[in-house]
Amino acid sequence: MHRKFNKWPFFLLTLISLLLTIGASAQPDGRQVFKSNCATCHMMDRPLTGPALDGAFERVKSFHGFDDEQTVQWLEKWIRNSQAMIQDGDEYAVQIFNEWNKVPMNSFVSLPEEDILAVIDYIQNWNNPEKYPVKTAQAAAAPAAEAGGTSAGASGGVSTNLLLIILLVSLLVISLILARVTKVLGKVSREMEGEELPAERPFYTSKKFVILVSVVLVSFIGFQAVKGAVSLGKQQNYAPDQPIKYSHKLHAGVLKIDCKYCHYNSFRGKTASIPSVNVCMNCHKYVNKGPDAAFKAQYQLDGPANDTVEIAKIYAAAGWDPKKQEYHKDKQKPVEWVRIHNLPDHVYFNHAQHVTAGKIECQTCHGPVEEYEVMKQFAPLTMGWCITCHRETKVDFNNNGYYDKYFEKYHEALDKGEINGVTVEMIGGTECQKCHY
Amino acid sequence: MLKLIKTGLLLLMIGWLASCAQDPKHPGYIYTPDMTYSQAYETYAPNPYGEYGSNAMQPPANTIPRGFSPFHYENNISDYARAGEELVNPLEATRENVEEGKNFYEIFCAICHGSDLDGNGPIVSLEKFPPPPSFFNDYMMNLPDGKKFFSMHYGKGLMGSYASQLTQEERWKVILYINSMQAEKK
Repeated sequence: MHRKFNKWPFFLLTLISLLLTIGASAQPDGRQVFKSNCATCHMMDRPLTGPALDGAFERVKSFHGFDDEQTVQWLEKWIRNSQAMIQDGDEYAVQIFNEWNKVPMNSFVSLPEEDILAVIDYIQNWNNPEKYPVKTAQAAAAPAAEAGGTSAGASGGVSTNLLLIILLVSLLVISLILARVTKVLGKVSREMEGEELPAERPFYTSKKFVILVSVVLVSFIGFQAVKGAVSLGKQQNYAPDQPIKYSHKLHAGVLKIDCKYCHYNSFRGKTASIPSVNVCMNCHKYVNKGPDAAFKAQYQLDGPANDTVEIAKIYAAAGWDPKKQEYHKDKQKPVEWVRIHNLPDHVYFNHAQHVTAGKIECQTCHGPVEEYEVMKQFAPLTMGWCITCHRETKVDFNNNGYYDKYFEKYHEALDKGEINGVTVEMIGGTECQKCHY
Repeated sequence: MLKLIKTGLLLLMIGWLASCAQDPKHPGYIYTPDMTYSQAYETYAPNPYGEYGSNAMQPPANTIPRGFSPFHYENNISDYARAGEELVNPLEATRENVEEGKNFYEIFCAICHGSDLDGNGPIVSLEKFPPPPSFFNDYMMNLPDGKKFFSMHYGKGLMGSYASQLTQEERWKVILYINSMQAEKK
């Protein structure tokens, strides 16, 4: 008996401390709760859909003259159901509601009490690094390494070409010098033998020189003429300066925005659509500056960090006033993008036919756009290029009612094994009138 | 002197060769410009008669594009609630419709809302944009179709309007897909 009594307080203490540790470990992280419930509409340091929450605790406290506990109670009530508070006529609640154009805040009736208390704590202490340590940028070595690999490959291709040219030129120089040396040596040896030399003539009147120069001239002019003629009407690698320095590498490559998000007509109609600025504003209403230096370095992006100049151009085009957070219709003006891909007027091309019916990836014709900082024309867009693809590309012949109905003989041939696929050409993809009419 | 002239000539030739490289800022030359550049106004081309000096124009007032129906709701809270009560999805949840909805969801919504509908899309996880709510929280699980449609039409909170990017039919298909995913969690 005696021993048992002695153990009781000890046991209780252990139990309490155990409960406390469980409680502490289960204590919700205010930042996490904030992120999953509040961050959609609130930020700490700038207003979004709702007010900036930095100093919200003090604002409530000073308005009502509350102490800390009363303020927590007020905030908890507000988070649970702000509309009920407004209907009850709480002065500060009504004031906030009116300030924010009477847009009601979502109610969080079923959010656990400890979550709400954690959020209130986070609102008070969010910029205290001891309580909420600053997170460092996550390392994502894989995409950076990938990008590095491709850029190295591209530069390798260019330098081989240059090397060849340098080699050729240096060979030419060496042979010329050698020819000169043999000539001088010959002259010297003949002089030493006491031979009578003919009067020296200027070198440019010599037959050899005239022939050499004319051969070089004719071949160069011919080469230039043929090259120019072949490239007439071709714009491959055309990469003009655009009015806004938009980076496909950032948006499509790093942020993984689908091509069709902005070019939303590419699967519906003839043109792929250049997005009007309202599409930019879906994100840039919030995103008002470019990525920081760490992010740029991590993903090997060009251009200045924290750039606001280019985004300001979107705001100007959309007539958006970022300070007042409102649009001015009378100030809107379209962005004058420079057209890169241009087929001659006598050629018909339809994006939807290729994207939706043909299921061709955008990159097949436009190249690895998600790696381009500056957009350029990847394909030559010549007729030969079109026809080659139409001859080689096999259509998805099965599971298509249209092909079943009109191309029975191909289905039969496929079944018999006479052909191993149906190309675009076989279903009329190289008929003149398909593209020219 | 002779050597000098010869090296000069060589340098000239090298310069000539170098000039062969195409200037990427220049579109190059064309023959028959009248056959290449359209005489009629092309899509997005400047048009002095257009609303903004452009061929991209707003539809005239009081007209409805083909395949659309009028949307008799203003962008305010009472109409948001009314849309939730009144609007009914005209499409059935067939396999094709749901699959098409998924396709549109992946293009237009997943960038923020996430492919798993958990509000953690690529630009959210890179911390470039605040997280939208998960489709599986209590509020979103009980959100009527009409309110979802309204939000896609006018936007909600930080979300912009998708009226220009998704047709009404496509929006209803997206809703079918979201509902099918939510039904799995119920």
